[in-house]
Amino acid sequence: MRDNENYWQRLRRRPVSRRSFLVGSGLAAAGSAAILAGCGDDDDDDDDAAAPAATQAAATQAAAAATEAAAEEQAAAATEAAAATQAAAQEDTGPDRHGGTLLNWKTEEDAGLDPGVFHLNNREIHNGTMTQPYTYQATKNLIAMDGMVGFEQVDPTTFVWSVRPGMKFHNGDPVDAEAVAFSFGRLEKLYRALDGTHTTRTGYAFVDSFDATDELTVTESWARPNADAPVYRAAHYYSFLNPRMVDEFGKFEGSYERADGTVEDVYSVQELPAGSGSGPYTMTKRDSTGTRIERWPDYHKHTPADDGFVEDGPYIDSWETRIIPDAVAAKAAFLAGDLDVFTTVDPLEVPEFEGQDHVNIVEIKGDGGLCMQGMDGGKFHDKRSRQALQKSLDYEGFIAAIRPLGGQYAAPITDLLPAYQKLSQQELQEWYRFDPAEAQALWQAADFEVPVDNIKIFQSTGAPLQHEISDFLAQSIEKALGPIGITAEVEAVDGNSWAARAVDRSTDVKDWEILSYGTGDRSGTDGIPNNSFLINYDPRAYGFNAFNHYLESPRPEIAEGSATIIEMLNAQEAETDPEARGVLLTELQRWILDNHWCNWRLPVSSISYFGFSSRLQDQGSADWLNGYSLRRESMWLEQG
Amino acid sequence: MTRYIVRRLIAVPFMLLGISFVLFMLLYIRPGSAAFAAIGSVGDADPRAFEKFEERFGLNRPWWEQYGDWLWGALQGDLGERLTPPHDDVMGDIIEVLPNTLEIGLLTIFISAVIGISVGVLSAVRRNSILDYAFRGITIMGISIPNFWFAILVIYLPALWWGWTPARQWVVFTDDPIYNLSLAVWPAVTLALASAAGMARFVRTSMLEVLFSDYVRTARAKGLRDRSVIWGHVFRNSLIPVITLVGLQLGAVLGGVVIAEQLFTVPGLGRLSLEGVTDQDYPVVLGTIMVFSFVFVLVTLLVDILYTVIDPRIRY
Repeated sequence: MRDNENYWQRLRRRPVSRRSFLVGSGLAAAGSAAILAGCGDDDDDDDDAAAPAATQAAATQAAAAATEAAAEEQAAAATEAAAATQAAAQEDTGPDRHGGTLLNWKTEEDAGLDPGVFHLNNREIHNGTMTQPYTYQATKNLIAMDGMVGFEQVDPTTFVWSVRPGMKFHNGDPVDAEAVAFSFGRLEKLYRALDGTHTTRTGYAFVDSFDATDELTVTESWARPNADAPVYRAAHYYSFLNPRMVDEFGKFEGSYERADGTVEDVYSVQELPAGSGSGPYTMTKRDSTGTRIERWPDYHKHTPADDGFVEDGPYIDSWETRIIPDAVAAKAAFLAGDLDVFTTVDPLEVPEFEGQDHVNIVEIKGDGGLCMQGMDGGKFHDKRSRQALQKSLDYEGFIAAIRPLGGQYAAPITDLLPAYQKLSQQELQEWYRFDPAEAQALWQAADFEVPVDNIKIFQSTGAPLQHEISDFLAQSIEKALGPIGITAEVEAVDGNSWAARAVDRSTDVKDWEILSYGTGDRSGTDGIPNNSFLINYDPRAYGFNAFNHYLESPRPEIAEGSATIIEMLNAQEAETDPEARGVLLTELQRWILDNHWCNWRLPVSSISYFGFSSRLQDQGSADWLNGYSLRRESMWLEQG
Repeated sequence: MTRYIVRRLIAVPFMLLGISFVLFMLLYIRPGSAAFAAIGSVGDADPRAFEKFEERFGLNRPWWEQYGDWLWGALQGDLGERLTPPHDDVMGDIIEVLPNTLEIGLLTIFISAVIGISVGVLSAVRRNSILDYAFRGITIMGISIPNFWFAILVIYLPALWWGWTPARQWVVFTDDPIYNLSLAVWPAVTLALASAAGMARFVRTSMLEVLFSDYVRTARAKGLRDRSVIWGHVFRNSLIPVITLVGLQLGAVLGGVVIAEQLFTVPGLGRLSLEGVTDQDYPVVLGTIMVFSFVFVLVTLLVDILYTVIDPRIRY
């Protein structure tokens, strides 16, 4: 019988020698140990960071510091918020709030750290290691003082800043008015030296000069009034930068010619050497896997502490920010408890997070953001053609198909800015009405310099929802305009090719009819109407280079419309009274909708979702997408 | 043999030259510009910025000048600077991440070979048994499931079910070898799945062919033990096509590494290459793909040499 056994059967019956057994056991034990080490607890153990609980000091005086008329509203809100924070702090005598490492993530490495040059993927460093004048919470319309203790608008074009006394950079150099004036003034110089590679010039385009008038006072003069100036000052590129570090470690960026004919060289500190900032943390790691910032023990006191600040510095000891390029990996890490923050929750994926105790999904009601369809003014110069397109979309069907968890009609300005966006849903429905018969009549009556019989909807690849939006739009247009011979198609290309063809101006018409961008399923706002989202209609910005709606257009109706909207945009920007500005902005929006100008916002989600770990407290959910919460020192982590 | 190796080595630079030229032209003729990725915004940026950017990096010059400059630099070990800020040295970036990719690649080949050969041999020796049927079913699944999908499942399902994910913060081997291996093994297993399945089927077929050949029957007739017959005659003679397959699979592994590194958050050559493609950063794309090509060409040469070791009848 045994003779018939094959090799493997005989091998199985062979006795195992002691030596083989020992070697095998050793290998198995080593392997198991390796697997256990790899699969074990990855949590950071930060138990040693505990410090006595500190209740926040009264912050009501912060509001008083903002004495200027334009900031009255913010001051009142600050008082209320600070009182609430203080009351909460007094009530809460429970757990120690100090300590812990916040586990954060981003998709890519930063492209440099100089706050005045590039703004991509470096917010956690700027907000953690540097000091800004103040923070601005758009959803509360609230300014909370950081590096400044107050500011005053002396007249429509003069601002006086009071720098917080006792601040130091991380190398011990004082943060004084000279340093602040240097930091602010450098932005314009960098812009000029780099020939416009600073992409947010609008934040300081109206500034004339910055002067240190005494040790802690900076006077800022403007060339013209700007209602958004106080909000712009909360941007991280207004961080205070140590002039000595720029002097010692600066990299030559370029030169520009001053008005007097002399040439000035401009330097950047893209590596942000230690000592550049004065914020609550210092950077201890920055490589291809991520960054780490850790508490700086000599951080100045915030007395009194405005909303979101803590008198003796942030509660959280350190921030670990991982680079996770893939969204699925990030979601998995969040589910696994390896991340405390996951701000990109897809509404359709919310059920996946249900039943996860350590996950806290927060609902934010409001405008879901950009979901734009730009129309080429070279082809659709007659507003009837643009109106025909807008009447070709089955809006209710779109909401049912694309926004099943809740959708709403979208005005040119986000409804997250209620002071400026006052158009109701009922009013918006008057403009956004599906009417195939009227669409056909308008199309046939419209004048076309370049005949259009096919509507190409041009989008970038990437978000699956973008494809669904474009497909729905194409089908709806074909359904409405198909009977008069109009077809519709979707073309999707990679992001860079899309951008190149979006702004290609080698001919006076585009090689697409509709430029589709944004999925409208999540949004924040920095509080500035231009960025949320008037820039998309502006003949000096996207209107010009992406949609052929510009002042010098050879099509008279486009040129006339451009002159009108530029005047309206300038008027609202210069109006510093919020109520009067609200009226101007409502008129402006009505004009855009009446003229079907340039861009068309499709219905957006009415709810956005944010994910936080259950251990993260006081995270200020609504402003995470605005970047404000990255500077929220009152956030804390439940230990244990 | 020596002459053959020398001849092949002489051909390597020409092959790389051809690859670099084709690649450069493909990158050159595609629409778009790195300026968009570097400068960022479509709407706000000043048109002068784009011109200045193109001038600074010589992107406004004719293609032959751009290619010539790149080639001259490459010959001297300088692969240029990244077009995207902060304009790092491409060679420096490659050197930094290359060990991670090599580690995953080698682990993948190792896992793939161990599993593929074992399963293939077992399947051939126990042909038409339940074990054989099971292995054949599993290998078809392995070949059919795309790597990226399998990787997503490996990353996501454990997180959903058990609150644990293999895609964790990367640590380099020299800092913590055990932890590093516990991270690297997952992308390697993911990549190895398809190649192991393919190899198992190949080994099985190859073994079966040899198993019924005359010299195996003769070996058995001489009274040799099964182990000697299987490993000494059958396995060794079926190895030649398997070695070829291993060499070819390296190409698939290098391609798969791009996705695996992205999903498992490994800072490697694949991810760097993908970043280069996304940003239209042609020095990065050229540099990384040239490294991939160089590795592939070398491995192919190594495989050719290995033939002579395995089968003394082969002469070049």
